Amino acid sequence: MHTDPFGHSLGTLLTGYVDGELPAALSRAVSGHLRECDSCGAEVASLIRLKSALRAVRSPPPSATAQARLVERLRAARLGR
Amino acid sequence: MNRLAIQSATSSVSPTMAPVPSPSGEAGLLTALRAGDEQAFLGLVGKLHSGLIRVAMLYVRTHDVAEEVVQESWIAVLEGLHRFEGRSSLKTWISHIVANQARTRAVREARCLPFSSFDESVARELADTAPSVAPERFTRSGDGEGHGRAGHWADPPRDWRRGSAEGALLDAETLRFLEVALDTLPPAQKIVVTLRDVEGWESEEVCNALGLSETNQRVLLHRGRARLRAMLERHLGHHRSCTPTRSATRSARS
Repeated sequence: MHTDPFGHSLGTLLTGYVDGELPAALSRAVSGHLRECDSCGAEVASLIRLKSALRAVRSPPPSATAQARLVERLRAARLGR
Repeated sequence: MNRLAIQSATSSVSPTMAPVPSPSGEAGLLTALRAGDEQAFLGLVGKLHSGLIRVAMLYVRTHDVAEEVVQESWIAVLEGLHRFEGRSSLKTWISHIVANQARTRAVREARCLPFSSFDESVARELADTAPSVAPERFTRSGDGEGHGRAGHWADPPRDWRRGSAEGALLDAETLRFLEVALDTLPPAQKIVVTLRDVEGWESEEVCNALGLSETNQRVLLHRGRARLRAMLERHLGHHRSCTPTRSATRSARS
């Protein structure tokens, strides 16, 4: 399943793997490989850590002012029906 | 469906405080929205708004204009709910409305980005043959078993979290660095990584919202993540401080 010299195919494959988006047979093949391959295991672990870290960067919700404006528009839209 | 009037128009809604109602999934949400359920509407706004701002920012220059675009889009959503036929997910439909509104705004205001710029970014970034990971971190020739084979990691990614506890949270300084690093990614990688990993959108939703094939979306996601990881490793000085992997340890012992 390995790579070109720059790791492109391996990288996109493991990206699909950590996102759970590979076809089942391919995902099983990757799982099997990971049991034998420390460096691919490190790659997968680092992708999972990165995904986890990025979830903590979540954007703030809309401001109270923006929400208030939307509610006004929602009510106006209802009244206008 | 219980129609709830909000107590105050200025009350704060966050994704964690007011999740989108889900007992009966999207159909139930749609019913609530069509009935004018303000709580359901604000829950949806809280869940999707920041991602939609990111989509709008692909076409307009400033956050303020993107905010206006998304607000107008929410009104268009309310006015168009009776026409929504469920051929796509609600999120996909809404993100298309935002993209269309943003393109219209960009055309109207000459100082905004031309609306082909995102497509150009995608084409440029996909055509870029520079490696996502520094080539010297891969082995070049077969000189042994396993990771000695060409194309394997010679220098695998390390655990860049501070502290040793598995699952430890990043410290605030590292999180701030990650936010800044995300902002420096090329535009197409930035929006794909942001929608997938920060906003939690599914692959199909991102593909539909941005008009990307699944393959191209995955390539952009991979390249963006690889850049971010490299920046984090450099920032945290990994090559100086991390413990070796099992394979590296075995190699050192042999």
